[in-house]
Amino acid sequence: MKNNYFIQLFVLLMVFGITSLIFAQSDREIVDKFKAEYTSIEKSIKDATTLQELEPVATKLNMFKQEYAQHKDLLDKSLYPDKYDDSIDKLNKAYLLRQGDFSTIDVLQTEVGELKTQVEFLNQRNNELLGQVQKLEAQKQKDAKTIKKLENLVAELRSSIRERDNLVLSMIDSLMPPIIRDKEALTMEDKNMVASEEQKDNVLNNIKTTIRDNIRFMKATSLKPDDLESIREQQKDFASKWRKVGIKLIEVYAEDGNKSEELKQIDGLFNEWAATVNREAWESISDEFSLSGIELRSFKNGDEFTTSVEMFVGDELKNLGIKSDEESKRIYAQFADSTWFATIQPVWMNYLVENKLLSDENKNKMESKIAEWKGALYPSNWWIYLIIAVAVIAGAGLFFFMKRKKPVSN
Amino acid sequence: MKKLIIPLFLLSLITAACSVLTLQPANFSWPLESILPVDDNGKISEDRYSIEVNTVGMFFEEFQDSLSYKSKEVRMIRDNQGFYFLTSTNFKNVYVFKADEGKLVQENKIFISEFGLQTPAFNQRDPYIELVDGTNKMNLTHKGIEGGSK
Repeated sequence: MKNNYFIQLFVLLMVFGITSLIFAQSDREIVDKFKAEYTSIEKSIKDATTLQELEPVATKLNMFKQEYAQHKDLLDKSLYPDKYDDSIDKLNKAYLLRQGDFSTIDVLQTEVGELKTQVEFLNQRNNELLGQVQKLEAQKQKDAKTIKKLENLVAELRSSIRERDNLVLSMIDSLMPPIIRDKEALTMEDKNMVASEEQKDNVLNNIKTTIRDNIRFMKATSLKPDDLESIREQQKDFASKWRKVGIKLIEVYAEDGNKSEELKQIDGLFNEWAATVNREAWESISDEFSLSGIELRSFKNGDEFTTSVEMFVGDELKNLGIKSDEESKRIYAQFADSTWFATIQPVWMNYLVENKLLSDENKNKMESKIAEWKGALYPSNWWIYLIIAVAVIAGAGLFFFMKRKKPVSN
Repeated sequence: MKKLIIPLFLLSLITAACSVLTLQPANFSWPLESILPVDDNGKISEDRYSIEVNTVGMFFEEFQDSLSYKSKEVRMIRDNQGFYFLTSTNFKNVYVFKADEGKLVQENKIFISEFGLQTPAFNQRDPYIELVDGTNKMNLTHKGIEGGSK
């Protein structure tokens, strides 16, 4: 048995030896074979979709290097423009770069796992807070304590939503690292590299939840321009990030038949969010009037707001003779003193004009209408002062005239 | 003696004025043979060395057939002295050319085998060009076969 084995081995060695003697090798063949193996290793590096798939390439690369070291002189002369060492160096670098990609992805996916837990916690907390805010907002009679509590809850909710938004943005960053984000189109390998099964249901849902919560938050609360400004910024940041990576996230994480529907849904939510931010200003302004007992016709843009104010003032002007003077003045005080000059003009006007929600022309229209209303309610008595002034001047003139005309009697 | 110095001086001046500038040594060798497909017009071209030449004449010389170049490949290499060595499958000879103005001029035609070359390949073995054909190996110069086995 053992003898047979040695005989077989001997025959095999002889065959190899004779073959190498019989077939003289062409230099061209060696170089072509080197090139083919080089391309094959390069492809293996590029095609590897996991670190595990990439690892065997290191062994292959080492064997390749050793096998062709004996032909270094020939390869140095024949390879153009690179030489043997350059070629091996290029493969080593490509290997390390790819290894680095996978390590980065691994780290990012771990980060995403941690972020996911935090986002879930914040989602739950935000829901609870939103519930409490809605409950308090629904109370018709609010005492000082309730109002304070509501304010605190809204502040807490706002900060919590912002924190969650930032976490979701970080998640998007981690799931779509710059190396992938900057590519014009994703290959199947890229998709496999970033796709993580556990995130499949999470990523897009988290984005949708984030947008929906922001919309719900705005619907449940009445916000001031400063808050709205910060929400507007947040909305813009989110929308801009979505524009950059949205389609790629959908490509990777949405199910095959559902991609366009998901994209449409999320784009729709972004539009709704932007519209809600714009609408929120008008709703908050309407709330300001309502708090003063003024019910304006509903409005959701600058033109409608102007029309609504003009109509309200116009109606009051028409009713001047019908309503009592006292009632008309009370309504004016509520509208102008308690609302328009107390909050709308000092708090909202700049925000509306700066964000192009209200034109200067509409602003002037409303101001002149309010001035007209004031003029009608409190007519100016300038003509009385004029008559008095004329009478005083005439009296003084007469006095001096008489004094000069009187003869001096000595 | 004085009579000799003046003509010698003049002669050396004339010689210096007429001599051609020569850069040497020069090595023209290609490290690797090129395997070049012959196109429909009988032309081959090598991009790396920017050479293009019509081979119809060589195929006619070898096979006495003006269309024998069709679907053929030519193996080409240049030695250190600048001579081009060309051959192809079924050729009995290796053709040696030297470059001239706009043409390759035959320098030598080295007879190799009556049965034709089966799988010819050139290797650069400075100062020789090694011709390999299956088991056969031989060293060539532009003058002919230099030793080797056949």
